[in-house]
Amino acid sequence: MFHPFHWQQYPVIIMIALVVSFLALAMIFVTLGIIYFHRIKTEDTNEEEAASELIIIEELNKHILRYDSLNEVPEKELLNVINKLTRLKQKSLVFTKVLTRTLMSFSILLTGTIQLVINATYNLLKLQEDTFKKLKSKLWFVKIEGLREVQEINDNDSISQVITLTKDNNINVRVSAYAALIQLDSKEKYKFLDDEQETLTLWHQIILTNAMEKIDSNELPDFKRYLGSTNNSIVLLCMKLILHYNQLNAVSSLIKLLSHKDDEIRCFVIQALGKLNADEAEQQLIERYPKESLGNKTQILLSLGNIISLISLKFLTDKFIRGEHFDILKSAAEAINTFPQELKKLVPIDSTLLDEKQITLIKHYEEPLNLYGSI
Amino acid sequence: MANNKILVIDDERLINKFLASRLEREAWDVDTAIDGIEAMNKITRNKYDLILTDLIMPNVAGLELVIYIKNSKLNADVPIIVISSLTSDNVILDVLSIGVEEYISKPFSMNVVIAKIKQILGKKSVA
Amino acid sequence: MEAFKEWSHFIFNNAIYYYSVTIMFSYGLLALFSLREIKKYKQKDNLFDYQLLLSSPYLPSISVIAPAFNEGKVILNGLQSFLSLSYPKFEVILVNDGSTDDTLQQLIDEYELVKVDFAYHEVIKTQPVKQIFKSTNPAYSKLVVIDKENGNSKADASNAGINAAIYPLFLCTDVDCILHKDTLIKLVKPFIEEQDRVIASGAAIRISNSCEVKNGYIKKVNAPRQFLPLFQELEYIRAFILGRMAWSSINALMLVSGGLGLFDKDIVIKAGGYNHVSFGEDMELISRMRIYMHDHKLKYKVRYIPESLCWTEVPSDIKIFARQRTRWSKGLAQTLWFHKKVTFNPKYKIFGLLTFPYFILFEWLAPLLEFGGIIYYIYLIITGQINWEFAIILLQFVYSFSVLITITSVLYDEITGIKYSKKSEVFRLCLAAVAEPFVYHPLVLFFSLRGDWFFITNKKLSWGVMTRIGFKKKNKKL
Repeated sequence: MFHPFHWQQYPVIIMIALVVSFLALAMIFVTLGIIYFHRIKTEDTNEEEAASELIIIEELNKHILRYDSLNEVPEKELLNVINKLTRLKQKSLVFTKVLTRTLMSFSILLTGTIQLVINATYNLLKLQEDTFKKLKSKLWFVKIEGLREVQEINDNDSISQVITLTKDNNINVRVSAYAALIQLDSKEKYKFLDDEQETLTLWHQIILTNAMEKIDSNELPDFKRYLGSTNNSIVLLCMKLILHYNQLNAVSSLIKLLSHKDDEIRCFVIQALGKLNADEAEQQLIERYPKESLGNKTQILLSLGNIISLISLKFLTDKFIRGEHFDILKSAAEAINTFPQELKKLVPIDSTLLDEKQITLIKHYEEPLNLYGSI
Repeated sequence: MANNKILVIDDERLINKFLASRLEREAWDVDTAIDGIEAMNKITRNKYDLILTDLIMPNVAGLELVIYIKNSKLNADVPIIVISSLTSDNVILDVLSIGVEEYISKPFSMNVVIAKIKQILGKKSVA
Repeated sequence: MEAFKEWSHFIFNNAIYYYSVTIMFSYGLLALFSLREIKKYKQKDNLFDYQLLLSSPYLPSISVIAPAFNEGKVILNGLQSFLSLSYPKFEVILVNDGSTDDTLQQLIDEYELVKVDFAYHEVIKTQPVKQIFKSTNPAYSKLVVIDKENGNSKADASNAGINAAIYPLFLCTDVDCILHKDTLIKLVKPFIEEQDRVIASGAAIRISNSCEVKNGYIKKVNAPRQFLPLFQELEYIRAFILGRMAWSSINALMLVSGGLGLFDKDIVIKAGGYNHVSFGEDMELISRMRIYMHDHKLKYKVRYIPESLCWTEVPSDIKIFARQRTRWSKGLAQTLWFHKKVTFNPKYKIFGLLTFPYFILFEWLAPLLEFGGIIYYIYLIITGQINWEFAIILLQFVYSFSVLITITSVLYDEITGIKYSKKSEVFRLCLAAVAEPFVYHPLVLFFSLRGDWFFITNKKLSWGVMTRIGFKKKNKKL
């Protein structure tokens, strides 16, 4: 049935089919082989990593991390542990990887004086040499890995290299460099807020806010300085920081931003003014109301709920009674609910004017079980 | 008087071991559990003076574990300290509303943890 | 007659051949794209600090929405896995779609529910909502239970959930799904790391039939042991890890599965929510959302991640399987027909120029052509015209290539992370890949044709009840 000797007589398409199917067959076996060896290799690495981690955690906990500073560790004990770990480190790359990772994890999870112990151990184990090599790498993800190590271990010797990386072409590398710099002793910490042109995603913003979280909040600049940035993502980031650090002196600059041309920014400004309880913004918020989109209108109502005043309450009550869109009614009801009873009595709502929907809304916000998540 | 007995529950071995070794140094008896099931077994069998737990773990939802402790025979009145990386307000309020003594968010300072434990155990022994 | 013969000869010997070659070539391309995307994902993922994300106050909050119709056997397990998700701010909305069993009562008892005054607003039209419950136990304050009248479709129930959701993103899932605790944090990642607006994200769904499940957690992942589930696992791996990843890499995804998808609520509502008459409501929704974004000239992305985050029970019974596949096939035909204007319309960019035509040509038409091919071969055999040598070579050509693609996707799955503890399980899958074209594929082919037939004849198709065996009953009582 099968005559390989006459294959020259086959039509071209059949010949191609024949060749491809043999190739496919060969590749099936190759793929099966790769699956098998990938398994074995992964299992081995996992085993080695687990074993290394066990040793590292054990040694660090037993001899180093139980003390509040390295001076407390008996000299001989310290020398022994460092020698042991260094020896294992020289033997295996996996061990080095796990060692760095473990120290990083400790550094991320712990604060206080122990941070210094971790940093010192990192230096004693000469791990910063590897870190420096990573900073010099050509691959973007290796650079970021190095930057994160610099950031966690506060490796001030690498500052100049980190500054170079703040001018990298890859935005992810730049952001990691900014974050690292924030935690180091540098004068150029916040220069990126002036310089960065590309959009910072929410993820980038989280990396940066997290880095600031770890330094003394007194060292932070006034973020209102950057509210005029042409990079909208920087403006958003600074507003988040103003809120987080409760920088009340930013209120007047925020009020100016109420006329920003970007819808999303205005929405956030409205929200921020509410959260800062900025009563000086009350009048502007109310004036702004008719000009805004539906989403921003609801945000204005919610913010007025934070600015507890009679004027706000009257405005909200009016919107609640006369509002048409459900979102307006809902935000107004939610905002009114935040006012104390004594004030609410001053602006009573005539329930005969309300329809069923409005009555349910009032009940909705009076039900404590419904309030979950709206904090 | 016997040493105070503390149960440490955290699925991350790193934290689990670290907490254990630091607490042992303070001369407390430390027991550890690496997941919800192991924790529940230990809570049913042994009486503790204080429980230190994470919220998110395999085999049990964090809040459920706390409720389990509160409903257990032996450990219903045991003070609980939660150490978790979830720092949003509503998580913390939830946890405190079901009778957890302290909420500590990660990253945490070991000295603070030890001070809180001493404070709670001190209050208990006075009562 | 002679002309017909020649003509049919031409079609079947050449057109079909080139058609098959194009399919294979596209699969080869998909495999390459997918590999590139997986590599990119892994590089990034290694740098991602989830601890850092979890403690951030800036993550968007999420409503988890799960409809349930007569799910008494699995409801507690599924809900347990939703309530145990690791995420800073989320709520769980369970929609009881007029169950006739004890689903609602079980929920009320287990979670100490009480009826509350809830300002439910019908943005998307659904069957009436009867009552809304919340838990009096603070441990379950995230839970909202909606009791509504049966709407005869998952879409209608999901829409009710969307109406009640208070957060900007929602996760659509099923109560028979067991979710990995990092599901939300991993699915939200595309939303926060992309510069363009992400309107939906999804991840791989796997099969739980043989897994050990306890208290809403997968204790041990096992490759399915039964006949149908084993092949479905293989099919899911190929579809999710190879297919969807590749489509995602060129932003041309057509489908985020109903079992696990994170959506931008605002866009979903603007696009009109799930279509309750659709038989493939998940695919239909993505199509409509994409059309909405293009119509309004908004830049957007739909993303898949190569992670297995959701385990679900699949039919092991041929009848239920038949019903499911017939419905899928009808859903595909329906969606393609419904949005036919997209085809080759440059306004819809890659979605109109590539995704849609591809789905028409290779997803919808393939079973029909395959069926035609088989008939033709049978005709050739009967009339004695067949060239056995060529026939076997061609068959072997298609066969070896399809096995290669399947086994490649098994390899990719292993690269994204090792799931099964034993090597033998992976090789069981590979063995299944060898057998699939002969034993499983004909079934799928048959049910697809049946779906197309039902679509053309507009025959009514019941949604059917998925009879569940249920995971081992909760053995722990709080």
